[in-house]
Amino acid sequence: MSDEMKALNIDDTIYETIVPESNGRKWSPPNERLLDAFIPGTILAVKVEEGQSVKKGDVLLILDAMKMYNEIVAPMPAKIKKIAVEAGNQVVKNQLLVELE
Amino acid sequence: MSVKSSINIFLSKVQNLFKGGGDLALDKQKERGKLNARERVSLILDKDSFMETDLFVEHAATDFGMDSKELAGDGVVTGYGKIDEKPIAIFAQDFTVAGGSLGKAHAAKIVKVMDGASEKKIPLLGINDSGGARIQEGVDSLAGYGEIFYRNTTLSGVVPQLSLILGPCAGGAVYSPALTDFVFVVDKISNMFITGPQVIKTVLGEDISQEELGGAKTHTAITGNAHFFAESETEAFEQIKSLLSFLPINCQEPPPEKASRLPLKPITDDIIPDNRRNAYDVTSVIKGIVDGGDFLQVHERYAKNIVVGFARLDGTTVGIVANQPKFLAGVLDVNASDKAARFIRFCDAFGIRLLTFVDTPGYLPGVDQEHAGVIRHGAKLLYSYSEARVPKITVIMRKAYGGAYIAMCSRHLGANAVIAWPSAEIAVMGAEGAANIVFRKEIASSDDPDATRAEKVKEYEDKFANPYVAASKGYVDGLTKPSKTRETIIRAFEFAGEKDHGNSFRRHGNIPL
Repeated sequence: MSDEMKALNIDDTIYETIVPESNGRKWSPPNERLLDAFIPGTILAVKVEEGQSVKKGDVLLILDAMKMYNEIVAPMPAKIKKIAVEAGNQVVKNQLLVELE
Repeated sequence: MSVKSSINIFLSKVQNLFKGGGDLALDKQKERGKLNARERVSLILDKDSFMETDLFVEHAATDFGMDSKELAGDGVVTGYGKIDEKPIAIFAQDFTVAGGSLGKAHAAKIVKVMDGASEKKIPLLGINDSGGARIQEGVDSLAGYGEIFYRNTTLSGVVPQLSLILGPCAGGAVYSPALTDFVFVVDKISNMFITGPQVIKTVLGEDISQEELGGAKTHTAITGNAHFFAESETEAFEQIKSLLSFLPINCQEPPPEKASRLPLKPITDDIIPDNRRNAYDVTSVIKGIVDGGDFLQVHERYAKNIVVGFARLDGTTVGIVANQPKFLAGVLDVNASDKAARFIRFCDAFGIRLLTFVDTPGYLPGVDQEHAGVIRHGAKLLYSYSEARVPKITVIMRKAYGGAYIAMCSRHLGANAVIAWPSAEIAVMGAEGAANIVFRKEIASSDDPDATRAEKVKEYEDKFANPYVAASKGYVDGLTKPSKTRETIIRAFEFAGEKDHGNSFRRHGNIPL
């Protein structure tokens, strides 16, 4: 962390102060067509193929994590655009699993 | 057997037990740059004050080859002693004996001194250096942890509990220190985590070193699990002695009294910059007011936008909470609220009066903060100040805006006295922001919006950016110059009493967690 003074805007007043790096992460709206791993784990099975149409609630993947087989389901009716993982892959949290069209 | 030979047997047994895990294990501990359990106990306690308990305790486990294993003191040194002539209960896990692993007898020894601390009402110091549960003893080992956690909780608020992490402290074992009041860690020696780097690597594929995951720097700067960072074990011992010098031995005793001393560098009237947008270091204000400039910061590396710690004022301990304009302009945020609330509650539990210094522009804006639950966390600050019965004095140095004005121990949350410097700005928000809202139309319809804005900001500043509006309503009790602050506060405390909330029928409140 640098001890450099930076500008920090609070209620339209600009303060000269040290801003630690951990602060001020940018937030971007989540894209619900990109399905991420909500927990780190291993992909046990891929149940669908690219190009396939699925209904809301259809099981797309099985993610083995924390001693549980977690079903990754379609949040809405959609066509599978891309499957970013295959069975046996280890995934970290927030890693892209499936992209919907 | 003659008395003489029985005494010789006794002495040779003691000599043997004092070797812990044996010469080889002791050498290994030394190679790791660590002191052993007995060295630690003797270095931290006053000379010859240690009274050991349960040196001869043996485990009774028989499974997995345990029946043939002799573990000196079952891997923990326990007893009572004195630090600066004040009594303390102490346990030190001995890593040289079966990795300091916790079995049934080991836990029972710790539980015995915890019960002793409870009966005698004296502080407890735990020195953690253990590989974790003794797997061979199975669920007995878990039971042992549970018994310790239970006592950590029932002792909470009765006697100060300190934890010194001098080695690994992993898995369930971390929760005993987590339940205590203050955790001390030493660089490159202390490690705390629920799951270690190896498990994280195999399960999750994430590579992280032990130090980065749960080392002393991590826990003092990132997680806030530890309060004091030391470069060496002996420095940590000194920190513990320094902390204890401020604390009462239990919640019914007053904090220790010392002779009153003037600050080394008393503050002058020009302590804060003229431009209210400029930062300064609030610790120089604190040190310029308290006895001898002697200020012990708690959580010094964590949530630096608020400063908390112990000092003495006219000889008696005072707990200090201060916004730190040097970092993040002194805003309140999730971590700062947690840090301050925990400190305030400790002080209140042990009858340590509170002194608050205010200079904050408000709560930190941002999605990050909102989503991290700044509402719930910020509420802890309001709760703990309101709940605190100890005498509370507040000094408003500069900015006290909006919700942060209320939260920083305002009169409304039960401050016995609120004192303002002439530079104080007590208002619903800063002049720029307020002018942009109140005079939105005038600014928008002006031929020269910038000039109009500047004019309106000035107008608002003149009217509200001062302590007199709040003082005219009795929200501020009085004003003082920075250079007169010390004597004003000392006098204010003289007339400040403890509160009686009158609701003793209540089991306990429900602080937002």
